[in-house]
Amino acid sequence: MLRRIRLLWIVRVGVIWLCTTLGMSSAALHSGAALRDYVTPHFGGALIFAAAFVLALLLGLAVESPKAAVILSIAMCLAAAAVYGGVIYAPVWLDIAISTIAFQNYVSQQVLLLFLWCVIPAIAGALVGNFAGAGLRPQQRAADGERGAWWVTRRSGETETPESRHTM
Amino acid sequence: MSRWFNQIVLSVALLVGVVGGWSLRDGAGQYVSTSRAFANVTVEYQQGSFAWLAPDGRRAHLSFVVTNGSARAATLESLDIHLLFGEDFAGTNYDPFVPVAVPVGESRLVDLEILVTSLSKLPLAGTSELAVRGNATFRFAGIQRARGLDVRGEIGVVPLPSGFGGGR
Repeated sequence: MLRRIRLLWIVRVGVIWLCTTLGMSSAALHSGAALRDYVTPHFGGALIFAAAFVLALLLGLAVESPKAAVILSIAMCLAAAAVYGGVIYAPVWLDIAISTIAFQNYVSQQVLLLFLWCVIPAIAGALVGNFAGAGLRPQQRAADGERGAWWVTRRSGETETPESRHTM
Repeated sequence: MSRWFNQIVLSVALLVGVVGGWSLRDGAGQYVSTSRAFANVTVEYQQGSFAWLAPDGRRAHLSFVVTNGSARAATLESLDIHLLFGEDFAGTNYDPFVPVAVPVGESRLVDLEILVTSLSKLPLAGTSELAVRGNATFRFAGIQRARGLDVRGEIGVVPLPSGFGGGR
């Protein structure tokens, strides 16, 4: 039962991460400098900044651990940058254009630039979302009804001590 | 509130994912389609079309074959051609260029008149290796960005005609 609940939780976080990554990749595509003349509508670089913050905030709201939220946000930015680079490089894979060292360097540069541009607001967004959601988010394990855990069975008035944690 | 919190976050994430996925696919499709259109237009010098129009080599005529192998209607907006004597600039097409529409999968013959303005090179007109260098600008239906294309062609030695009544 507990494994199933944990699996469901992982799937839920995975789905949210996938959705935010799709959103971030789309924002990158519609505001990245490399595709300015090719993709419409096209927005400035500010969209990447704002989207990274908002989408990471959503991730932060969904995940309890700040560490996990930050890691997932960085992973989101990495995946979005990789998708962005993949799209720029797609004509080579589709035999439309030939690959040159200059083009490869350009793609790498764009990917790196995009990642650096979005990772900072993403980390900030993840932390803000995580802390903002602390009061709203149902505690994962408590909500899952994990029996025998100290944070579920502890009676009101009891305080957490290392000894009590070991004895549970 | 906390009871519905996870559902709200998941719903928002799913919405972001669906919209993001759709716009990602749309953006990538636009880019690939544009790249494909850009890669499938050619401007080639029609071998044997070069002819001197003046006995002193001041004016010449030549033709280019413009082919649109893309899936979009194209318009050749400009064609700037430089005539070279050996490797030296001799003249260009000074007349205003009339845009040429090239439907999908078709070719058009474009005639140009070159005026040799580099008078110091004029004595070499009938004896030097002729070549053309230049650039063409295309616009495609449904694509904002214009595509610039380098044009190169080797003509060879074309003697000045003797039937103009005396030559130089």
